[in-house]
Amino acid sequence: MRYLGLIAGLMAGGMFFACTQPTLAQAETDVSVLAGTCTNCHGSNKNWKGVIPGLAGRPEPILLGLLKSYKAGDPNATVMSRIARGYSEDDLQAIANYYSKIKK
Amino acid sequence: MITRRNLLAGLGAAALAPAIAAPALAKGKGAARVVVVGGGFGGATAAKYIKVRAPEINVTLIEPSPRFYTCPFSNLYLAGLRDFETIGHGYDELKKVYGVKVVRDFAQEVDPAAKTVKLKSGEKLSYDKLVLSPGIDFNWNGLQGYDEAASLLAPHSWKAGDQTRLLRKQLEALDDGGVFILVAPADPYRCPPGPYERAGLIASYLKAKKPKSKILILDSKDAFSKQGLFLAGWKQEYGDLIEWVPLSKDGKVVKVDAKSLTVETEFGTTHKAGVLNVIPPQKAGLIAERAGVTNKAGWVPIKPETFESQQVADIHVVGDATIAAPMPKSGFCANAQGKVAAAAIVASLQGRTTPNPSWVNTCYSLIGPEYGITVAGVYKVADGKIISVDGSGGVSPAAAAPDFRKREALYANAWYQAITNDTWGTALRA
Ligand SMILES: Cc1cc2nc3c(=O)[nH]c(=O)nc-3n(C[C@H](O)[C@H](O)[C@H](O)COP(=O)(O)OP(=O)(O)OC[C@H]3O[C@@H](n4cnc5c(N)ncnc54)[C@H](O)[C@@H]3O)c2cc1C
Repeated sequence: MRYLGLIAGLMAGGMFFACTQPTLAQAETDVSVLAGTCTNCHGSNKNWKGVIPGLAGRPEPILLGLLKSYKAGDPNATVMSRIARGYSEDDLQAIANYYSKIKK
Repeated sequence: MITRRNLLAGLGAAALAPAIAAPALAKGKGAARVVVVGGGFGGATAAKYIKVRAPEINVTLIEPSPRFYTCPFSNLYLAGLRDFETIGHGYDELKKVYGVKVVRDFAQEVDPAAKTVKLKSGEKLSYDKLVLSPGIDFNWNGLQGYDEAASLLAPHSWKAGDQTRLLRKQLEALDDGGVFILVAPADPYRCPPGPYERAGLIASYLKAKKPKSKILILDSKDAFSKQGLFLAGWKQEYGDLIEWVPLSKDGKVVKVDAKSLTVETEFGTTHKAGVLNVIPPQKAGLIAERAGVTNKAGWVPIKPETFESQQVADIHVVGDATIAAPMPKSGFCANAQGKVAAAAIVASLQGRTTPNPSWVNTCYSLIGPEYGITVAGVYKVADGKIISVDGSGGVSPAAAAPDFRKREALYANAWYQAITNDTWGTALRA
């Protein structure tokens, strides 16, 4: 679970990046990049109130449950099932964790 | 005043991104300078997200217009379903909340060796990293007879602004029984489903106000985005009001006479319009060519991980100007690419490894005000190329109930509100 480490690092503040190795051959998966695209529809303001709901500060189990049900093909979904299928379970977990950690 | 505190207060997700000193540039060089050309979907997003990730970086955005009018939802304006100002967005929040320096000017030259951008005013700006998001320009006379002067008689309305208002005026003046001809281009062009959304929404206007009128789409290709859904939706909502003539049925227009509003096809058929909307062939915005980042076809090859030009170092190009297939030329993609480029630029200036990129696209199209359809995709990089993630994406189901179509129309509106807020921070309160 490399994401969780990353998030812990982010939460701890800037120190995280001081510990990463710029010489790493492999690119890091930065969850803020992975999750960044969600805000095009879900809004980037913390208290976003739209017909498509904001994500910040919603409990992780709820976000994860929704994402997993979309991935499984929730018949009530419109576009989210087509999107969620493009992510691994680990990705969805990381995204849910990321948004849940942002305080409303 | 921008402070760390109100910066964070304005942010959602990105508030988690750490702001730290820039090790790569801190040593004696002062803060890093990023210049962004173009305040549309790609450029405004890149400028904002560089600041979100690293407020200490100096970000200057060059944009000639004080207000940006979006092509997304301009079709609703054309159909009389929205006021023009509801698709306009300003730069105040980028300036005040995020600390982007916005310069109202036009970038004229780029000197990649000296790393400077020359503006129309004569001012020269130095950069460590340059982002270009100039959108598209037209290949004037790429279609015989269609140049800038012709566009004042037969508007393209493919950049939103005066052209959009002109087309609306012409539609209002169209006689009941008149023909609206839309000339659709060959691939690639800005917004693959755009011409077809336009046809459907204008049909909703004609059906209500000028029911004897017709729409003729003359197309330079045989297939288009969400084709099955559009054709079925048009039939259901508008009967025979819209006729689509593909390439193989002599749909390709080869000559335009804007004065007489006639067009001629490949096999010599002429069509006369009451209103003529020509969407001409396109290429990357001129500044990309000036910067030396375009290929022979006029588009910009990029490195997929970072959207840095393949041809010139330290120039990142995002949005419609790039070759990023299978990602379409959409505002959604331009925004998503702007964020990935911002993350890559900040990482590079801070001496860190480039993070793995990740993008989504959802293109909403309206067939009528309560009838929405979508195409979606999730993209990543594999073997040095952008690919659609296996099993992801696709179009709305063909056999969806009216409620599903209605919800997609509702979400289209919600999307517009969210993405314009994410890009300029000036979404309209519904
Ligand atoms: C009718 C229509 C409907 C559409 N609907 C949708 C939709 O529903 N969803 C969607 O996702 N996309 C849609 N699009 C596509 C969308 O408009 C584009 O993909 C998007 O605008 C591309 O963003 P960009 O940043 O590349 O260019 P733009 O958004 O066009 O921004 C370019 C900016 O650069 C500025 N500029 C250019 N050259 C210079 C220079 N030299 N110096 C300074 N500034 C410069 C311009 O003034 C402009 O503000 C639609 C397009 C059309 C035509």
